[in-house]
Amino acid sequence: MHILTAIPNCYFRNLEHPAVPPREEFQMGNRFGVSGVEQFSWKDLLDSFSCTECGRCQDLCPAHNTGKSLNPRRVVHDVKVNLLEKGGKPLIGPKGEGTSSEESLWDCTTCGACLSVCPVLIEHLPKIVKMRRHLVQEKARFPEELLNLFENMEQRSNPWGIAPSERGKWTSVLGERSFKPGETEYLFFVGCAGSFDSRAKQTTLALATTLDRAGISWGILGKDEICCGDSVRRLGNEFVFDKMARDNVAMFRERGVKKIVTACPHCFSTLKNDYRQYGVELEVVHHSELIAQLVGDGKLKAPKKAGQGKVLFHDSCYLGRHNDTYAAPRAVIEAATGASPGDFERNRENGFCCGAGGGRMWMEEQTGARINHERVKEALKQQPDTICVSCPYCMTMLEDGLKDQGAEKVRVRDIAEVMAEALNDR
Amino acid sequence: MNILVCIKQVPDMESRFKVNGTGDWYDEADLAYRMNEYDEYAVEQAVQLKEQLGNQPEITVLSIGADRVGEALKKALAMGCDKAVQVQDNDSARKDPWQIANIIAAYAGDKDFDVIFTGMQSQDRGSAQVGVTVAELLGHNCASTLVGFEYADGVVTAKRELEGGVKSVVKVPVPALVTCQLGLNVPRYPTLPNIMKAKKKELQLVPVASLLKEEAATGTEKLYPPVKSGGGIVLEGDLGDVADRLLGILKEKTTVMK
Ligand SMILES: Cc1cc2nc3c(=O)[nH]c(=O)nc-3n(C[C@H](O)[C@H](O)[C@H](O)COP(=O)(O)OP(=O)(O)OC[C@H]3O[C@@H](n4cnc5c(N)ncnc54)[C@H](O)[C@@H]3O)c2cc1C
Ligand code: SF4
Ligand code: SF4
Repeated sequence: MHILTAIPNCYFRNLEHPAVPPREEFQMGNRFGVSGVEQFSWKDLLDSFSCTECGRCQDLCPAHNTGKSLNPRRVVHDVKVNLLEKGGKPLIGPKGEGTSSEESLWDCTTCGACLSVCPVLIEHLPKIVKMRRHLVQEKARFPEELLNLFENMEQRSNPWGIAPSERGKWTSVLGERSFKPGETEYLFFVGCAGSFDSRAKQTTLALATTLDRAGISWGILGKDEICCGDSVRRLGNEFVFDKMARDNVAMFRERGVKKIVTACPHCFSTLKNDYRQYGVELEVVHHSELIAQLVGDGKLKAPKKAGQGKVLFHDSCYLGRHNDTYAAPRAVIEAATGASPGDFERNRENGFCCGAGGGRMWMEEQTGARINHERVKEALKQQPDTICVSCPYCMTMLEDGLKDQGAEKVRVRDIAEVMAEALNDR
Repeated sequence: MNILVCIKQVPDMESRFKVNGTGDWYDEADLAYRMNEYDEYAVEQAVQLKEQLGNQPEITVLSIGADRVGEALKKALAMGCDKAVQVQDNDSARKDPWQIANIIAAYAGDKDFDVIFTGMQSQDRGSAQVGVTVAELLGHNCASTLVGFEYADGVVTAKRELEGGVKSVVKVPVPALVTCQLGLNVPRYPTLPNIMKAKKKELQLVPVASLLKEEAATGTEKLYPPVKSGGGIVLEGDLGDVADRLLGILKEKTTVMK
């Protein structure tokens, strides 16, 4: 059967970014998410018949690799079996052929590895998010840690639940840095991690000083910035995401924001890809792209200072696989250190997630080995001095992983920190 | 069965508070509001009781305040209350607990509520007076600081939290009023269909003047932040170094190392 459907399946692939789930309409009487096979789109169903059972997705899936119940091949297979049995079985329920367990749906980090290796372009990820939507929105059934997260997001617009008035505090050493409509070129969308997480704030400052050095005009929204909504969307809380997206888009319009720079791949991908569904075309750049460009244009002199020892670069899923950006962060490291960084065994399209995407950052990892431990062990085989990242979540996961493995002497640095450090001791 | 839940809308406690111009309460500008935490336990327990009794009881949720309390009422409706009452009062922050309790008792007086749920205290004022005073005014049985609630055959079995981790269990025949404490339950996250349904539920508006006949028994003289008595020290840097400096300070300035 897959031989008949595989070719049309490739033809009908999602023209939007496959990691971007469709919007939902919030009207009385509507169903939210997918709880029965008949609610899937015809493309979702075609997908299930196209699978060649080659198993490539399961081989690269971080959840499956660490002994969790999720297996992307099974998710697709179970949709098919469920359809063939005409919905005689629950789509979500106790694990069995034709049924995905709730636990398996919560295991997904939305890393996109399955999408990117599938030879017939099956879109596993949107199916998982649609089923999460049903659990969250219609059943209010989700791991208990998420109750706190959702409340923090709704009440204070950030996952940590810190008062919104604290958002701009990191600028205290730089002085007033508000985005001024018509004057400022780039909105620096700092993001929640960059504003509230003490480690990520160091990256934020490194980027700010680097942009200053290059003479770039940038400003922030401060206490008016709200979360981009990435985590809640991937977790299936589309209702809360929808409000955040609409509020953000309205604010960008009101302030005349056209260009945005961010140091977080989750903000980057959400503002760039997801917000297109809300009718805005923003010119969003990840800081790796902007810094690489500033070096290329000669606005930043490449310092080429070898102060970081042996460097490995870890690809962030939302910068790499979801946005095909592999060269820019490596170019920044090369400009800063004079040498291109080493690679993990699994890199670029085949990169292995840190474990934090898809809202997993805010959840306990109850079963199997820890995804961040797997990734750290992969790095330690090469005995690096520094692991370079381009994402605040990767930073947390890898630093924690190194600590747990007793390897704190290996440093984790954001590419902006590597650049700022090199520029400073020129 | 008729159930009443009293909820207060309070500022997010993470906010930065400033004293207002008249120096007797906090400035409301720039504050984000939410349902008082203890009142969320009250709403949840009321809805659980309704479910236990086959959805037969009707739950009324009441809040006194300006129009913004509509948001808190909507959340309670989405969690499962049946109808909402806003006692309209733009000046509710200046009412003392005696007046608030009198407003609630005046509303409840002729409505035969079998069980009334309130929070143990409000997060902003924290007087813990309103619930018990309402019970006294209505002549209802009352148990405060609940961490456990059971209902059978017209009797509430209430587990109360006492000092020092001690608990007591009391039986309270209806009509009864209970005040709810942290640990009683985990308030539910409203489902989307219930959020939508809540928009269609009844919201009754009652002017405060029609219910309030009492003068305040207490007044606020002055509200001010505590006087700063010496600043804090933030030690930063290498952990080992921080520990040494801390040791130095403890030796020098305190008696703990002697
Ligand atoms: C319910 C319970 C009962 C216990 N009962 C007992 C008991 O009966 N007997 C017993 O021996 N142990 C008991 N313990 C354990 C004991 O309380 C802790 O192990 C001990 O207090 C830990 O001390 P610490 O300095 O290592 O911990 P930390 O938690 O790191 O520090 C404790 C204190 O140090 C100060 N401090 C820490 N970090 C900073 C900072 N960055 N800046 C400034 N100040 C700081 C603060 O004052 C802080 O409260 C109990 C623990 C619990 C949870
Ligand atoms: S997105 Fe990543 S974690 Fe989720 S199923 Fe695919 S490979 Fe597994
Ligand atoms: S990679 Fe694609 S074709 Fe292969 S098993 Fe996974 S879903 Fe099926």
